[in-house]
Amino acid sequence: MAFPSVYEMFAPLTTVRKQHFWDYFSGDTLNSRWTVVNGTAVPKDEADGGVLLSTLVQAHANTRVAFNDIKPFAHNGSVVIGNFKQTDNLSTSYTYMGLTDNSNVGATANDNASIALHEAVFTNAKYVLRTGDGTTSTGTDTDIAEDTDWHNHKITLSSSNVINSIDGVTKVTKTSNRPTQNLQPIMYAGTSNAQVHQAQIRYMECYNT
Amino acid sequence: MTKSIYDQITASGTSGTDFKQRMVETFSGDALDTDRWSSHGSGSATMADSVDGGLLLTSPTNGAQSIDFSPSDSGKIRPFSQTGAVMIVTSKMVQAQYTNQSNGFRTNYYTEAGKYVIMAIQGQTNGNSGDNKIQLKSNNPSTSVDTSIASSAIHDLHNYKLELLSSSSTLSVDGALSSTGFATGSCNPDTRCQPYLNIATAEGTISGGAKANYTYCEVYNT
Repeated sequence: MAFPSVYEMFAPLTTVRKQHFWDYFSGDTLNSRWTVVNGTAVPKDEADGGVLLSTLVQAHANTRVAFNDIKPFAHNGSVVIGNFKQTDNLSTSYTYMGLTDNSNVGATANDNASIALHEAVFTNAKYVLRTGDGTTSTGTDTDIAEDTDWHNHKITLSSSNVINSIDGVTKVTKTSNRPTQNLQPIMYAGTSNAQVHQAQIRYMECYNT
Repeated sequence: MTKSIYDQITASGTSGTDFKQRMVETFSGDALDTDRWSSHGSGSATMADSVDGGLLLTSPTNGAQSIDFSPSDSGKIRPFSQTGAVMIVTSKMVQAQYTNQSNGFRTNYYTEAGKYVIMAIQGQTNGNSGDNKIQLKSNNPSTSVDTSIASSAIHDLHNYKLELLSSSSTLSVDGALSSTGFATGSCNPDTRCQPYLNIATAEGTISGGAKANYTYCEVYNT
């Protein structure tokens, strides 16, 4: 089946679409829609490499790629899909992909919903669905051990829960500490020691439902 | 299931002419993509920090703000056919009074005379003929065809499809193919076009400027 327009791939013209974007992370630089805070985020010169985030060599460095706190996505009706990996597996690193109300997604006071790995507070070495309601941030382990492989992560936010899937399989449904504020997409790589931590992302899509 | 966007658009993908020029803009990010768009006017074109806010185009207190493909008069980029192109835009005009929004195709740099076909929304002014209407408009020849969208709905978020045909143009609001949300006129630009999105004060001044949100724009040759 062919569609006359990209619009009609997702909805008929009789439906007024909500905000929806996607990024293939392909080009000679990161698309200008993103703001990079600390470190670097540059295209990786390798097959399927996407964009490589690298932290600065300093303790508690973190590299954040987000919308500079422009937040068009609903905390109670949106989806984020990301294809990413941590490039290394440092014991001191932490990596997130998801939605947040500000780009410092690691802070407990943030509203956020993200897939996280290798946080010091989550010691089971699993991919974790983490959410925060602006006061408290908590995480629930998936059954997937953290690794350095590419995975496809999907997080669905509704008015009653937050659901994540990894590689197409639902892993966690979380009802506690869900975000309450408008959100922006984020990719985040950090480390608590003075060493470079790297992560890569090659697809991201967000839309309101 | 197809694996490419190309196949989703063309179905066959067997001809070198199957895929004509196409642009898809989702207006999502920290700022307007100025590698693609040029902004004209003393107002602003910024991303709205609100759910489904997209791009917020704000006119000056008295005047217009537009975005198009032309950074300068000598640098106009006009890849779309005056006799075979489509614009789909999802947008909302914010104010009820003294505001005029127009989106569509134009042949000219924003300061030049030229030809255009647009969808126009005019809010309430001081009794002008286009008040509280969504219209198909052109200046080649002079054309103004009303849709029957209720005045109470002209400030809602709508999906507009403007199509340039071989010797006419059509406007469809929210997918209507006839009747209330549809208008057709015997008008075309006279040469290749660029897309443009424009918000302006319609009469007098507006404190803070006239405003419109845009969440999607797709333009392609047919």
